[in-house]
Amino acid sequence: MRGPYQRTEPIDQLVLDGESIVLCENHYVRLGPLGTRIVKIAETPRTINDLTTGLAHAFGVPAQGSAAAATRAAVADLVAQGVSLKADCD
Amino acid sequence: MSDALPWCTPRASALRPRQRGPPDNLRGVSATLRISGLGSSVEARFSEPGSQLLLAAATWAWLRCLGTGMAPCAADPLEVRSPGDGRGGEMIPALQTLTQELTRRLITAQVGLLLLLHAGAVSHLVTRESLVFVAPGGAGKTTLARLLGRSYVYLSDETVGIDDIGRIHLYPKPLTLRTPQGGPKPEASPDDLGLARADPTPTMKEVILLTCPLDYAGLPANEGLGTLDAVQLPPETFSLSKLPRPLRTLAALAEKCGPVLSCFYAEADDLVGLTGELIGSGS
Repeated sequence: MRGPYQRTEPIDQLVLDGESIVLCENHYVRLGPLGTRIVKIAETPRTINDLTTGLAHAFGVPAQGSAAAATRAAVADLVAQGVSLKADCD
Repeated sequence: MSDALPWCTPRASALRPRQRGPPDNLRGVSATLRISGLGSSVEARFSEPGSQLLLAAATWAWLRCLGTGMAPCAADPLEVRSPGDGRGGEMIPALQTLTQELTRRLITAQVGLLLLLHAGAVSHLVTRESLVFVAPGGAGKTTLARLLGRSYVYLSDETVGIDDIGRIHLYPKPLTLRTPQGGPKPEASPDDLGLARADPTPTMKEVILLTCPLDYAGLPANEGLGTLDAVQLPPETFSLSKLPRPLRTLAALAEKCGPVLSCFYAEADDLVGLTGELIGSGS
């Protein structure tokens, strides 16, 4: 996966207590705290390192495994679900 | 109460042109019905030869939706095709198709203006507070509307339109009944089924998301949903994305009516008591 990543504008997003629902053109996705935070951080283009730092700041580092690997996995999920996150490959 | 088709019940038969003709408010517009619902209206034109029996049947079935004038928002007119020779085997699917086409046009006219739910609804006769039951096709909306409509005001069995201040826009359409043998579903007038008439200004009080699993037994199981869970309605909405701020509109609605309930149930009869708890006992 390459970066940086930036959210695209969803049709609507509802955030409550750190979780959210994102409505895209043909589907919606429920996001947990991690996904909600990533989408928020990626309002401007962010690298995996940027996102990892932002997540660690918000939630601390994961108990197991690397923070960067966890971030990549979370970003991959968001991209796969078409949730307002795209890689800028310029 | 009979499950007989509205177009062959004694009252409906009396509306056939040769016997009595359409109601007074339809004289002079013999080949056109103006159907009002969901805050909109649509003209159904019966101009093809052989469509007069269908017109008579539709007049009775849609009596509660017949408007004398066009609502502010008008849908594209519908040119109704003749059902052939008008005998039973062709009339049932013709009426069902007519209902589908009219509903599609009324929904289309309100896309982006109303929250349009795949739902049935009834309201209390006195308070006008309404229960909206959201469910996919086959989950029992019509059965429940038919049952509750004896004690509460029948608002719709299929589509509910809600505006941004919580008003429900009526759509007391004919009820689309299932038959044991399957196949085309007959359309029954709410009057044939003895359902209470609609008040013009019902307001939303409670929303239930209904699920009727085949293997579910026992009494209904209810759970109040948090706002994020409650707004996960897009599969049961029409063109939600065309509304301004759609998720926030849904959230405001959910918070306005208290916790939206998720309800698993087996029999519609079991929901009568719950309805009484939510919007008060019926008549």
